[in-house]
Amino acid sequence: MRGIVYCWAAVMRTKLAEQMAYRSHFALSVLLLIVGDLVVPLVTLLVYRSGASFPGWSLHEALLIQAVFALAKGIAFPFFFGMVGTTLSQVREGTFDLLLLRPRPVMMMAMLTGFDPDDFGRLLSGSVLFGYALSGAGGPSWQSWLQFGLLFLASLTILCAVSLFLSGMLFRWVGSSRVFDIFDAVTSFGMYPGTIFSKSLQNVLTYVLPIGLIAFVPASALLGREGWGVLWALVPAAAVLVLGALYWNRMLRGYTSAGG
Amino acid sequence: MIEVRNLTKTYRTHERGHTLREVAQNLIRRPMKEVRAVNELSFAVEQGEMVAFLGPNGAGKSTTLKMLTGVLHPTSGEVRALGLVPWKQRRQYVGRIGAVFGQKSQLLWDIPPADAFYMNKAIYGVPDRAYKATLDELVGLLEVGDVMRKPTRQLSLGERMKCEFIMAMLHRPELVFLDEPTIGLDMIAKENIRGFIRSMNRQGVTFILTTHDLGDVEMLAERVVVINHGEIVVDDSLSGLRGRLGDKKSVRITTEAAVPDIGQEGLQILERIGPHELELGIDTSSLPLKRFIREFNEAYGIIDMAIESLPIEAVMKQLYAREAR
Amino acid sequence: MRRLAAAIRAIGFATYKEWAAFRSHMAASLLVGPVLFLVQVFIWQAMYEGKETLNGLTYPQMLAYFGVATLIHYISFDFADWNLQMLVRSGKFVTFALRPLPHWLFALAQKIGHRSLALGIEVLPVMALFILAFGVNMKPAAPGWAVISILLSFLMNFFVNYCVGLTAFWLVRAEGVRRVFLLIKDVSAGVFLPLSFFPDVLQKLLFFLPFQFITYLPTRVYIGSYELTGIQLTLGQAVGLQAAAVTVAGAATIALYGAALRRFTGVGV
Repeated sequence: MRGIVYCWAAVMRTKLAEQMAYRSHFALSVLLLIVGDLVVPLVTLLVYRSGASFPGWSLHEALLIQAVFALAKGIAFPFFFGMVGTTLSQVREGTFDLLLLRPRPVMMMAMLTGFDPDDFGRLLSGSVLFGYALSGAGGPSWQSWLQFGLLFLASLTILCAVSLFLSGMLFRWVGSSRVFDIFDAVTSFGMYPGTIFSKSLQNVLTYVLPIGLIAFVPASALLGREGWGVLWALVPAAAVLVLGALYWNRMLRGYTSAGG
Repeated sequence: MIEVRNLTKTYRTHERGHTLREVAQNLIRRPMKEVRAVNELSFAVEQGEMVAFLGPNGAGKSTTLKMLTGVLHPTSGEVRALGLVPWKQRRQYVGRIGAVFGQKSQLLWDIPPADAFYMNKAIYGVPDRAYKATLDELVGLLEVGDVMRKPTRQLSLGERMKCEFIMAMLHRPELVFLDEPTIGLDMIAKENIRGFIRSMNRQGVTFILTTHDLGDVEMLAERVVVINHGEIVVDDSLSGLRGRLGDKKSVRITTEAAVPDIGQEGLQILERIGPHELELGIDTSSLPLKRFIREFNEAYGIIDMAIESLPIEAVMKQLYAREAR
Repeated sequence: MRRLAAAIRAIGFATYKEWAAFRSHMAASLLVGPVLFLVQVFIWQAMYEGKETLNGLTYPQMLAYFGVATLIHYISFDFADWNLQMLVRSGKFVTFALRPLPHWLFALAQKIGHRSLALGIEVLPVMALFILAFGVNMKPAAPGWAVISILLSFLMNFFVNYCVGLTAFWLVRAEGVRRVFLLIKDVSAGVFLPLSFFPDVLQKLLFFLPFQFITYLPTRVYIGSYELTGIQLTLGQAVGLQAAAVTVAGAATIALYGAALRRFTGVGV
């Protein structure tokens, strides 16, 4: 275990050194991520300004969901999501083999090499948005904060699982940057109040394909709209993570037995 | 140290069409073709050996190498290396081997090699003291003390290759795989790298080398394995390989009188440079050199002459050109 | 001229074949397009609750806007910027500088090639899904104007992206800037929201920028009414304005290409 932590630290150090080699580039890509994360909130703002609204959701409440989404990305992306880019480029260029030559679990190596400090920039946009949204939505109780904390873990778990699914896909679907579009499309269900979807779709988004857990469910818990029963949602989150890991390992086996 | 038995790898590929019609058809259905990349390879490598794997492009060398390094699972066959099955006990195995790929860099482009070394130290879990000792030794041998603190992108190819070797040797591997380690290097840089490999080999490290540079083979390998069409066609020592040429010599000769097109047992014109200048191939078993010189001098008058053994390229060309069985 | 047409056809066909191998990448749109659209359906269903119109658009019109915008997005989709900056950065551009055909024409031919492949794999199937599964009214108000407008959008998107790519000759490592720019381009083109939802000042500004000609204007022409910052145009006027803008953008691209080439050969390979 200590070895693994040490390994993380060493890789993170090198990644930071790499970024610092192009400081201006680093600053720009952080800016880009902030701008990118603010597009959907901007659209939400414009729509509310034109007099429309999600029934039962004030502007601040709706923005809170999108803020939680940005925060979850701000943590999950640097640590897990980078592996998608790693498999994308390295499987295509044939350098993924080099990861297999390391005496460490391949999944860990893929996450390590994908570690991307740029993505911490999302934490900034997420926090600002979160502060703004919360300022207009009233102070949550400690129970709400506790529920939110636990559900936020579920949110990270799901983003990690999604990273595994997308990355695993790329062993077979070599070099397709469309996985990022697929990610954006599928997770876009999670950026809006779940109540706008039909009841059956809401259930699917909570228990089957738990996209709603990324932002909507934690945010509505923070707004005090959920009871303790909502914590059952942690179960599908854990299940999806296990499935993601199984799938990834299966695809890796396929990769090492195919090739050419 | 390595034992390989009946190693086989087949995979399936698509066939792609050329005409508009074929392309359109391919949108729906793509015919599959089975390709046997490696076919029933068997060989063994002892500790401390330096073996060169040669073969034309697409012969199955890199597929073999991938299986030996545990990156690729074979379709069938067995490999035991360092007492382990590479693809089954991968983590344990790769901790004890090293690899340098001339065309795949393990360094990090934007930061100095020293930082990349440090990262590998953590990944391989090399203890501080051993790391320092090894690094000092390797840096001394390759003379890259200053180089390794400059960003990788600023290094020359030769400097970068030296650093690739350090990267691969830091955890003191017992077995090292080299894939075209001197590709693109100038003569001096090649010499440096070959010298380094030799001195590591003297310390007991086993090397498996694949290359197209016959200079690498002549300077490094004691044993040569030639693979073609996924099969071993030759497994022999370098001198044994030369012996296959028989007692053939190549003679470059300048004469006083013009030499006509001659044909004689044991003698053939390889290349005609001018009426007075020729490149001849002589089989000394049927035409002893002494007799050739005397006869040729009497007939045409020798002005200048250079005699060489036929180069190893000639053997290789023969072996590479062979069709699949 | 005939030789040029033959060259463009050959490059286009080669690109078509090249991309046919990656058709599954394109086919991803069959998932991405409808999923994003489904989300829009739910969003606007909720937004229109108890309202007849928003910003002058009815609910069916709003759905038609996003349906048509998606299609135009797929038809005029472009990555000339990415491709060009990759060529410049890796030094591969030199092989194009050696050819007797300007690279921008080569890139345009490539775009024609992969978009014709996309027509069968992305555009028509997604269109069919929108009509059949979502019941969107995808019937153009005036087919002739719609087709011309979409073709002009195709060119406009190419010119804008190609100019972004050309900046690589001056800014070697600035993918960041380029990506920010392209994102702003999409927002200002009306991909995420009709431009009529923007504040008045922004609408006035966007009217004079080239981006509305990529998505917003052709989409409105397709639906049959154009309006921005209070200015209403007939379809003919709108397409005429678009054609003028595309001509300016084309001239600017060629001028910038010339400057880039001078810089490239001046500095050396």
